[in-house]
Amino acid sequence: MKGMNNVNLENLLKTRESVANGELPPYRMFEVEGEWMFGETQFKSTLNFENGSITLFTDQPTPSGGKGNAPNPVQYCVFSMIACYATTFVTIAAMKGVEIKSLKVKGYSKVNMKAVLEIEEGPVVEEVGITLEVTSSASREVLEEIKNLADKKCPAAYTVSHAVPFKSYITFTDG
Amino acid sequence: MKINNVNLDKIAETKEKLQQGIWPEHRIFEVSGEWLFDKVQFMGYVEYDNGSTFLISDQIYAFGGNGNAPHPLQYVVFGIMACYSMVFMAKAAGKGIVIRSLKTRGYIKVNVKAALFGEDKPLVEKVGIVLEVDTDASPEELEEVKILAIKGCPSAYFVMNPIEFESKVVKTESAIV
Repeated sequence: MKGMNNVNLENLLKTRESVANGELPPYRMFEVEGEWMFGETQFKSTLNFENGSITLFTDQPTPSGGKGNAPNPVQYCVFSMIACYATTFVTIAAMKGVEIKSLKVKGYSKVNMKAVLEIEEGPVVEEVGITLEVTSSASREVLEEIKNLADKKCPAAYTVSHAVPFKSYITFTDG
Repeated sequence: MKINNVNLDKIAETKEKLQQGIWPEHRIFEVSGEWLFDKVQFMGYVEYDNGSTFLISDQIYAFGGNGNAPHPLQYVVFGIMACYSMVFMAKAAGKGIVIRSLKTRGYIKVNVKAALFGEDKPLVEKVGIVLEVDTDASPEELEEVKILAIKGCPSAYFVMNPIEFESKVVKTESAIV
């Protein structure tokens, strides 16, 4: 069963069973640490994964007070959303036995700069969108059905379309 | 003037241009990517002022991926905490508060049963950020900066508020080889 759409269904189904049996916890926490930089970029973080790790940098563009030396955080957010949505879409397709021959994705986020810079009150982010360009022998109706399921099951899309509790804390350290 | 590695003069200039209508009120941030049939599952391409980069993501092994790149939700957490840290530092700089160091931890809690079985509970239960700050500013001053950061951070905004989300699927024909 391995290999359909580059999704290992065998592993996924095993995990599904383990969650159903209570052998695996029903929640997953994704945690990341990072720090502010005082050099050519503004923020960096190392993400660890099963087979390695990667260090990412971000920087604001010049008009927003940075130097434009790395992608800005909203670009990372849009990337994370299209990656999460694509992963959910292709995984659901694989579970339904639908072969995806190719998938290209475009995503965007529309930010109100006047609200960011406190010039006016109002929604900071006005809309978020994603377009999937799919090559598959499945019908348009089947692909639409998979998309509707992905809308419901993608955690990143959920975070955008729902109000999620957000907590932030400050702790002090001595220099 | 530069405080906390934030160029305040440029921000003031941008604010003025926005007020005068020289700059557009909205910025659209676009990213594209594609599904891969190789060692990782997804690759995106991001352009910025002084360059461009490819970003890769992969599911963990237990969820059908290869574990060869960060999970998309790690990027979600990274994006949110980086965005929040930037707005926090810019707002602190705007108030003349010098931050000697800032370490940030972020998390997202996902209900796996809702994702795998459609359990009728919130798919994402909470998102959190902890800022570890070294500064001479008082806790009250930092609380004030935090409130401004929450209000002005696009990522915190999209977590806390329901936003219009539109997804479209376009079916294309296979290329004839």
